[in-house]
Amino acid sequence: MSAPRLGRARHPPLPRTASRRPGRAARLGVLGWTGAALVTVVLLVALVSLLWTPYPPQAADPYARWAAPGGSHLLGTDASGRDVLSLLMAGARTALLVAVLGGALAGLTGVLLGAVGALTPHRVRTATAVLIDVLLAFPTVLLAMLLASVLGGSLGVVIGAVGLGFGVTIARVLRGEFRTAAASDYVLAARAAGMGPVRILRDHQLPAVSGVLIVQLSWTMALAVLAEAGLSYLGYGAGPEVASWGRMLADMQSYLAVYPLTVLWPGLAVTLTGLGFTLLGDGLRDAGGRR
Amino acid sequence: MSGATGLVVSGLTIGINGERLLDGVDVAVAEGQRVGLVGGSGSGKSLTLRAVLGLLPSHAALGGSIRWDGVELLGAPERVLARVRGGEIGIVLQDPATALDPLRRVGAQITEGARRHHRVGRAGARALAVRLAEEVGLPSPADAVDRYPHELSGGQRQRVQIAAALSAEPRLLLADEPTTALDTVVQSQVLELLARLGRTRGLSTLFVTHDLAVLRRAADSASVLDAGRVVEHGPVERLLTSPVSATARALRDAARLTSWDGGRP
Amino acid sequence: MTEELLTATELSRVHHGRGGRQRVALHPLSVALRRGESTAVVGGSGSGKSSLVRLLLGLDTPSTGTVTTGDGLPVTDRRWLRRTGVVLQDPATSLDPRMRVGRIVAEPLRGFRIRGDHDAAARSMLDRLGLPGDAADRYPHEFSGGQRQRIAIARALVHEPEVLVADEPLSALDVTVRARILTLLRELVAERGLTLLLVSHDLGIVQRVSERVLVLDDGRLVEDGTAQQVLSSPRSAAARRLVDAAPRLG
Repeated sequence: MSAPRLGRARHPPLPRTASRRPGRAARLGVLGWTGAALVTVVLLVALVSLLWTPYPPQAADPYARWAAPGGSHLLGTDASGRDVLSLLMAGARTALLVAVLGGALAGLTGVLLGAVGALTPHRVRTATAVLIDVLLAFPTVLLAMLLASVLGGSLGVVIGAVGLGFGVTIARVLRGEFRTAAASDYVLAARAAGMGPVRILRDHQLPAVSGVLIVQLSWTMALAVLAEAGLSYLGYGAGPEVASWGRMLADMQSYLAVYPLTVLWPGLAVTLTGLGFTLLGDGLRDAGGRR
Repeated sequence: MSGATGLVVSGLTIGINGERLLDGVDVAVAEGQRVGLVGGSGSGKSLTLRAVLGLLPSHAALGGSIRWDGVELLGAPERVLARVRGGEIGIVLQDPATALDPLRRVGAQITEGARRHHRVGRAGARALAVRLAEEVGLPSPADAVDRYPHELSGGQRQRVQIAAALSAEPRLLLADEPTTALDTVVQSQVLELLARLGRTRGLSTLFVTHDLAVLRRAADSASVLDAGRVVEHGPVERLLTSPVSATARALRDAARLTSWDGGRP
Repeated sequence: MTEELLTATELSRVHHGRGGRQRVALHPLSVALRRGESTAVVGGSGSGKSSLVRLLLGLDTPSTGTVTTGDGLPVTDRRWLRRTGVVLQDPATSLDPRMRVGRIVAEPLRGFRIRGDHDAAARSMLDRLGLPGDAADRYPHEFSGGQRQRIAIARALVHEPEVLVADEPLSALDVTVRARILTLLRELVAERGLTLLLVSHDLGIVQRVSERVLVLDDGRLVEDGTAQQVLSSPRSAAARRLVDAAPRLG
């Protein structure tokens, strides 16, 4: 009497649903989708502005200063007679450029610092953690002003400041995520399977933190949009040749009492874009950052 | 039957999202009895326990009846459930690592039930905590009540859970696989403790497990569950020696294959 | 005379906590494992059994002492790791939730840079362990606990190791599943001539698969003998406690 081959005993059928990774459900929720829609609109406007704007954004028309909304200038003109709608559209480009490049730099900084702060030998790890905390205490706006005073104000400075300043915030969050992943059983199993640290990072640890990273990036891009507007407003960001919502605010604020509407548009653009990225981040977090 | 004391569950059905998870389950635990619910994962044994305490999600569709001392608990107002839950009926969960609040001292967690149900004062609570800690066999009880859960071992944490369940002087203890997360030595000690409490306090227990070797130390009679139905009921010794249902036989055979057979390798 | 597989000399492990606090996971001990002799490391939780096994696998660095393989390699040499396969306690955490099962099972083939069709090797191993045909294309959360442990065993064996190290491979499973996986392990050990190094607190399991038993208590090796001797007439208090506590039916 031989024992039945229990190894082949049962093949319980698996549910016939499409096989998918956990935690990637497309359940953004109403607010998440609102955020996604806002971001998409801004993106489309920026893309269209590359091909077409009602007027060349920087073309000043001395005969049409402070034109009223409606007519040939849908949102009116500013003090130098530039078309506000065209400026707004071109400003979206600048905002997104800083959001994307600043976000990418922040993500890179965050992943690098976070990984070094979590996965290296004890001394290096601790030193990095201290470094992260010190950098965190340094305000991003101040960092930008410092960079601008040395290098002169430019979008590059804004992107650099956003990348470093917000990158450190991401690093602190990812450090914890990397620590958790490093202590997991599946990483131990990977080590037992002969995988080296670099391949474990690529195959297990980066995918493990990717959900949190995406959420952080979305929030960082919201902050980047606000930072670009703020720094350009203060004169540390976009030069006069670049259309920027922050610059528009600065240019128009002296006329706030006379032409209140002109300040409304760039202000609204900044707010809605920032809100869009924030809501998208919230939605992504709720959708599956954590189970 | 309406005057009967103890727990009487009859014809209990539970459906969640249109799926019938429990299908007409009958279980009764009279005063002083030790009853087991045994079955594999997904058989509905833990679900039954949760239903008794009204701890199921609100969209669960329940049918049948759950009576405690003749009072219907199914659909009872929260006021009635709150008196019974953690008061007259205590519960011990599987994993002591997650069942305790990591940020509160052990003593406060032990006496929570007593303070809620019997209005015990602050000074009285501490004395009670120490007494309960001693009763469940925590080492140096006067010191243990001032510690946090992470400072205790798994077995000690499970003793804390049991002490907490006892603090409101319940008459029935629901135990949801309370020894599964423990090693065999500690498992054996916890089973010993529960048996002793049953004797000294006249406590009845409803004990959920998948392991017949555990069941025979924790209960005198048991119901065997499979896919939400009771497929067999009887004294535990009979389930071990001559199980009738295929489910009980499979559980018995599995337990035979993995439990101690007298030290012959 | 059986061949030495691994020799540990004066091996110890101390963990350094915050504020200079030290916790001894393992007091110095010497032990030799022999090829073909299935050995169990037993003890309660916190006795140091998992620490010992990690040191023996070269996955942790000892505070003192050395471990060398039978042919004189240090245990940290990847050639030793290549000869071992590892199964951990809880398949819910030992399988990366974001990786497809086929890729999980083939991981040792990638890790040890073994040539050949990794995907085909993983699929045939999954088939041998009784998993459905399309298992390789799915994610771990789509499987039951028992099936997941089969996946973990498939990963441990796909590179055809000589030594199977199993750290509490059954304690996270239901009794019925436990019995099936235990039978499967015994089959595999016999079929492939594996040396099984089992970590367990459950002597009911140990008596069925191990020929030799090492008893750990509070980080100390308190008993080392044949399973026959340790289980039927334990000498140490720790071994006696384990024998008394072993789950029994009668």
